[in-house]
Amino acid sequence: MPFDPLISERARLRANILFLAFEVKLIRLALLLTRLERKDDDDEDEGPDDDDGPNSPHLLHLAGAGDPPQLPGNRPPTSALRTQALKFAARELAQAIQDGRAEDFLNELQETAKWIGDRLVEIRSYLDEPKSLAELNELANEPAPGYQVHHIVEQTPALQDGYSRAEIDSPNNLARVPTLKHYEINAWYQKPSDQFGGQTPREYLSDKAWYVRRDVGLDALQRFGVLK
Amino acid sequence: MTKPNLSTMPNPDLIREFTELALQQSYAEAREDFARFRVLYDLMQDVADELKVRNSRHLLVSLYEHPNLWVRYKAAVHSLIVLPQEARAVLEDLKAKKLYPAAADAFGVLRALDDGSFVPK
Repeated sequence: MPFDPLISERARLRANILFLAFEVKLIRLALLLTRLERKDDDDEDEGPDDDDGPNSPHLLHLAGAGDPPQLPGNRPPTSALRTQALKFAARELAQAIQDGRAEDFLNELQETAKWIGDRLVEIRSYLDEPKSLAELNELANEPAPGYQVHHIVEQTPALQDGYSRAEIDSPNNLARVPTLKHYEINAWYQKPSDQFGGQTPREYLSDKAWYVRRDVGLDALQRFGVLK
Repeated sequence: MTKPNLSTMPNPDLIREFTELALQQSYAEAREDFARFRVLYDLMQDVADELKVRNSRHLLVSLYEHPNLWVRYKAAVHSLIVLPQEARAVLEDLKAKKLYPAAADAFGVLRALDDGSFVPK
């Protein structure tokens, strides 16, 4: 079926409404649960860096080696696995919106993965429309749940190559981006790319000047639908 | 992961191999297992090279409507040189769908094609 942006936009709006209703239901459920049971694990989620490795038995719960990823019904035990599961749920929801089955998907999510109710804000921000660079720069000063501050020129390689902290943290190098988009962009930097002849973007940029890194950084924001 | 003998493999098996490698890449990406993704990327390049030697890259057209969007993306990229219009249409469709990561990579390849920084071989 050919892709129709108007149908997709209507479906997206409808999904947003359904999403709100879903969030209300989950808030009620969360209130009820907090009265009934003590929270089993209140560790901070810090993104994908505290993973316990690709061969972790926990990872098999999300996606066994060679198997398609699936949404785990139980809350995954590490931050990295929860992030992967959230990214998976957000991508599935985006697909469901386009296929006109967002309501079914959200109902399924509610039935099968209640733990995700705590993290809905991240799935919701994943569906944000792109913003201008000025907006993204400005919003970097306004922290909000579901968002992270992203360095347009990647900070660790820039530091390693002798760029100053002042350059790296300058306001025009900072952008507030949806958390799960942030993880997708970080993943893209580490993945071999056809466009760069099989090098990862990070490898490609390793000997490049600041302005090239910035061009690629802005391109990354555009390609993931964060920047207009 | 054992390396199959591609030179003796019939074309339909090569296409199946290509499909499986693309699927595994998409799973590795979802799990953020970049070491595995790298191995799979290089294995796929071997399959694409074998298809090129046989002048059979046009067979990838059979994957242009595969349910997995990453399979579509890889099939389009590796057949751009032999089916430029058809493969480009697949990339344009992926970009328009805004479903990631396939949309992001399609976006990049289209932009690079247009500015001449990516030339299919």
